[in-house]
Amino acid sequence: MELGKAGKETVVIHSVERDLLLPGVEPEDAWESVADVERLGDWLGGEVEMDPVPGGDFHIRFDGDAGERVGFVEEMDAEAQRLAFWWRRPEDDVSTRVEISLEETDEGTVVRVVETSPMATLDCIGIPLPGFRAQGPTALALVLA
Amino acid sequence: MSGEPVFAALSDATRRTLLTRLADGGPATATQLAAELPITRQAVLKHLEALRDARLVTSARAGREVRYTVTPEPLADAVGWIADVGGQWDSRLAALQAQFSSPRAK
Repeated sequence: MELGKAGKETVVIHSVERDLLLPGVEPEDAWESVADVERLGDWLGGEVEMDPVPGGDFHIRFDGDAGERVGFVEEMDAEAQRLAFWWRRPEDDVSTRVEISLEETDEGTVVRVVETSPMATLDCIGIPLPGFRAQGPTALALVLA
Repeated sequence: MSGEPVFAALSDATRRTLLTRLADGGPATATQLAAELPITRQAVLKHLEALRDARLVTSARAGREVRYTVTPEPLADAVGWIADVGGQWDSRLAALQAQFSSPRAK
């Protein structure tokens, strides 16, 4: 990684992706764990409140003293079985984007989670990167951009 | 240099653990890392080599040992973010798996 190179590398390093295979589980059953806020909160590790429409509020209070995240729903698509939302700690002013999607395979349902930093997302969809404050993870993106 | 070696290097949980340790605790030798983590010194060295190939750490000789450092600083932030967020999703997906591996509780 050479600092000073263009934003493509930001996309690579500023995104976390995980796949989980649920063997023998039908997508409809797996989707319940995303669409039902109680089940969603159960595995996200807190209490979720969500208005499942584009722009609707998203809020999670994590169990214990792990704090909370606030944000909004970008998309809740029951047919495509995909939920995308943005969240941030209340004290931060930079949100990250979380996308949870399901894929049916022969072995069962694969749950895919991708959390992306804003710089990478903006870069991906072709929005010029603004002059972000050099703080936290955005510092690198600023350097790379 | 493409981002691919970085991505490959970060795709391994043990390497993320090592990076997080180096980012949080500062430079360390393979012997120190092996003592702190449930990994053999040999495995630590192998992972550190992969991290060095991806230029996520640098090494410098310190006496008879080699000391490893996360570099550069801004990268440490990014690596920390990846390791933190990745670790959080690992736990959450384990919890999701538990919803389906035990008899349906809810």
